[in-house]
Amino acid sequence: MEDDVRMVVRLPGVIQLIRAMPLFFRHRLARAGFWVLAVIAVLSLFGPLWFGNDALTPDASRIYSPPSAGHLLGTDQLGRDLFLRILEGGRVSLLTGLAATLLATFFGCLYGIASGMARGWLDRILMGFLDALISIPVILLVIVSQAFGESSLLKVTLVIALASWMGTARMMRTECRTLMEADFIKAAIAGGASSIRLVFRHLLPNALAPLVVVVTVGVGQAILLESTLSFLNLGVPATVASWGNLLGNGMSSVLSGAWWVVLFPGLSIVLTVLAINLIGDGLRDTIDPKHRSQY
Amino acid sequence: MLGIIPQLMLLSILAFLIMKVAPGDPVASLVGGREFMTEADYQRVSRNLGLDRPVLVQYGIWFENILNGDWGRSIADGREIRGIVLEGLRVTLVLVGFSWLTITLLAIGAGYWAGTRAHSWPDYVISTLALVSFATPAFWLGLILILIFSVRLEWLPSAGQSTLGREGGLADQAAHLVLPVMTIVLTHVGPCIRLVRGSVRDVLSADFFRAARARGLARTTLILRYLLPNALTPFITWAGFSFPLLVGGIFIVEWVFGWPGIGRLFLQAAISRNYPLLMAVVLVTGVLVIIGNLVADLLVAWLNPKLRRGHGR
Repeated sequence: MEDDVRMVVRLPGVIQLIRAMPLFFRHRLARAGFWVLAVIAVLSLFGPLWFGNDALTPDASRIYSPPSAGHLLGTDQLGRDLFLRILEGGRVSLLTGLAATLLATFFGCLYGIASGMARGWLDRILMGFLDALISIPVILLVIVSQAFGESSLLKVTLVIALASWMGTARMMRTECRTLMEADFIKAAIAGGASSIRLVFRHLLPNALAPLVVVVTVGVGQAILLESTLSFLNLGVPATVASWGNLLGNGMSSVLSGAWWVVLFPGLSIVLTVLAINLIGDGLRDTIDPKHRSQY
Repeated sequence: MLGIIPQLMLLSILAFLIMKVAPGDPVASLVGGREFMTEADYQRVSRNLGLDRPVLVQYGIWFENILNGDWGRSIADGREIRGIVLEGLRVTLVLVGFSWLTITLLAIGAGYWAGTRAHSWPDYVISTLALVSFATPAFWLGLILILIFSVRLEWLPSAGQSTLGREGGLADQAAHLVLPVMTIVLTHVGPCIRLVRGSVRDVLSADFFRAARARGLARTTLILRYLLPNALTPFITWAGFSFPLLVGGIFIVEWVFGWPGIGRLFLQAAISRNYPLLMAVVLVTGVLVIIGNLVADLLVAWLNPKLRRGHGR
């Protein structure tokens, strides 16, 4: 009996995703987002290897030189090539955003599933805490915790994750609640499935589709948060290049007229987050039948 | 309604914890270091400050002091924190007020425009702008606007609330408001427009609206009595939800434009680790956000009689 049930429901989340792929690539905006992000990611990850590090050593003779054939996007306040700095920073910004979101997703899933499967007082306490937390401007606590103590890549990642798991938790709880009422889950429980089996065989695979959408959009938000923190010198350590760090002394660059030092790193952030949001929109439209008619 | 009690409790606990996780020894910092005081003095001062009591008791005393209006003194200059925070709040509310007014008007106007003309080119332009606005960091847009309007064109001032020496001038203050308000509006209006656009479309195709239209009601009645109250409900709900996010955006904009409000105060306090000030700002901002949520809830209930029943809980 349980085997039959499993045969039917084993991979719906994954199947949903695979089925959505051709549809996803027919979604024009999502396709554009995908390719823009792919180019940015490949350039950031492999660009520094390809172009070498020569143009990244400070050079007093070319401080703030405007964009030219030699330096495509100009040079920064220490005479370093801005294009290479952006690629270097992109690696940190993308990976930090991704790592923070994955952490947040893990914690959010744990919390949401626990709350969704629990009944009664435990669920009420967990949800009450979550509601209270959502209504508080967590960003302030993030800034405080970054201001106290040394900053490191790991700490920034953790802090961003801690500031952004709440949405996932709430979504997972709703999903679990709905799924727990479904017949195949009831059958699995009647068949003696353990909680762990229930989570990994049934709940997670079935909630995968909406989860993917939330994660995608989350990466964009994490990148924005990281850049804001780094701009305030409260993000990744000053020795590490990230898109936010590149903008760190943006004000003095603006006032000395070096527009390229401010424009290009910011444009990389906007392009990346925009691409990620378009992918998220596309995934939601293609995975969730309710949204399909819209495009 | 009762939901705000646990919210306020959690908020006050988190604000209190700032003091507990702040680096450094508060007793030793009074005299510049532990080596400058004897062990007996150290114990005595700790006892006088109440630091030997259980943490829960300390929390209780702190909370009582806050309620009595004693918010402590700033580490940086010894001024009363209550005065600093309330003054900062007043300055911030000017910025927030103008920004919210503009966002609301733009969201309703542009959302209505795009929603009633779905899939036309203005709709596409507005939707694209909304998408881009959602992906733009506020601090960067602020820098770019300063670059264009202050550095290049020299039309508008880039920092502060007024020009030094000309504090009184209304035109001068208005000019200082333009760029910060523009930054907040442009980075937050995107999702609002999309939301209003979506709900306008939903209402336009809803049965009750078609019925009202079929009855031959006047256009203004249709829009004011039927379309807007229903189309604005999701927007107001979202506005209530987004207060916590808006706070972050406003704080960073104040920082970029040197606007002497509560946000700049907070970031300065964070960088100089002025924890009594941090606690006060977190508490005050949090309470305002929670009240904002509540007001949004009540407003939605008032606009939508269907939800009133649910509020008896």
